[in-house]
Amino acid sequence: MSVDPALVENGRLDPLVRRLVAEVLVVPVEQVTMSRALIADLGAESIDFLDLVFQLEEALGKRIPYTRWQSYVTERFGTGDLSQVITAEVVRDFAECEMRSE
Amino acid sequence: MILTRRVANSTWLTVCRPPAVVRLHGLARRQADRGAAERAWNLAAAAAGLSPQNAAGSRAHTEGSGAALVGPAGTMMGVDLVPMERVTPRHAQAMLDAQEWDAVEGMGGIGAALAWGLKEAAAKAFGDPGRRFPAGLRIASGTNGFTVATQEEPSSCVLGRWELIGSLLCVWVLGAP
Repeated sequence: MSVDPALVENGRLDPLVRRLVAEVLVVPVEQVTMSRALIADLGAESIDFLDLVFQLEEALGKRIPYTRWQSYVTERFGTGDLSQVITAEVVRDFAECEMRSE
Repeated sequence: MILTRRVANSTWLTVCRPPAVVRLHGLARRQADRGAAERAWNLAAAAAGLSPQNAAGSRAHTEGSGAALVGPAGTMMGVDLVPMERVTPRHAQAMLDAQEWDAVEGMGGIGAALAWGLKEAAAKAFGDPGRRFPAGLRIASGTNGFTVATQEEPSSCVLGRWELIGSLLCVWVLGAP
């Protein structure tokens, strides 16, 4: 399945990201709001982020090296506490970046 | 189930596992995991006999189980707990280069989980695990077993050890004495 870039403009990427997060973390999608911390609030572990990147690869129809996610998080948050700041919104923003990159 | 044992001079490892596998998810899992890691920490610290100000250590948790490694302050150490079935060849491929894969491939069925655990544990030992794992670390195999070094300082490395406990692989790393 490949995602139509128009999803970004229409704001419809949010439900997709929430669904992917819910599937990876095995939690009801209702629990995944765009602002809840995936680690502190939803119990995500490091391997879950790799699974999320795999899911995004399939949804966006493009290869995404895990190092790109790592770089994105590092650039965005510097030395902050990652357990509190990585949310579905961050995953959505990363997905948008990936969709727009070559 | 509780396992406590000395893994180096004055450094103790404890693993706490629930009596049966309980599939928890979300916040409930995180709370159970953290509780297990806290219990493991207290037991390892008691076994090490070190006062809090003289102790250092590392914790890990997953699937309701917790592990802790406690030793003298200033010791470089890290621990990780890896559910064996959770790490697939695809995960390994995403975090290892060809040389690293060659190094762990001989470990057969535990190779992927071991590589994951070595990098997770080493990321904790070197500090800043969220950013260092996995691309900032390199696994190599040597005469003493597996070592993990940082990309920026390959000469500074930690030595890895592991133990299979049921379906969990407990992996720990220690700095050179």
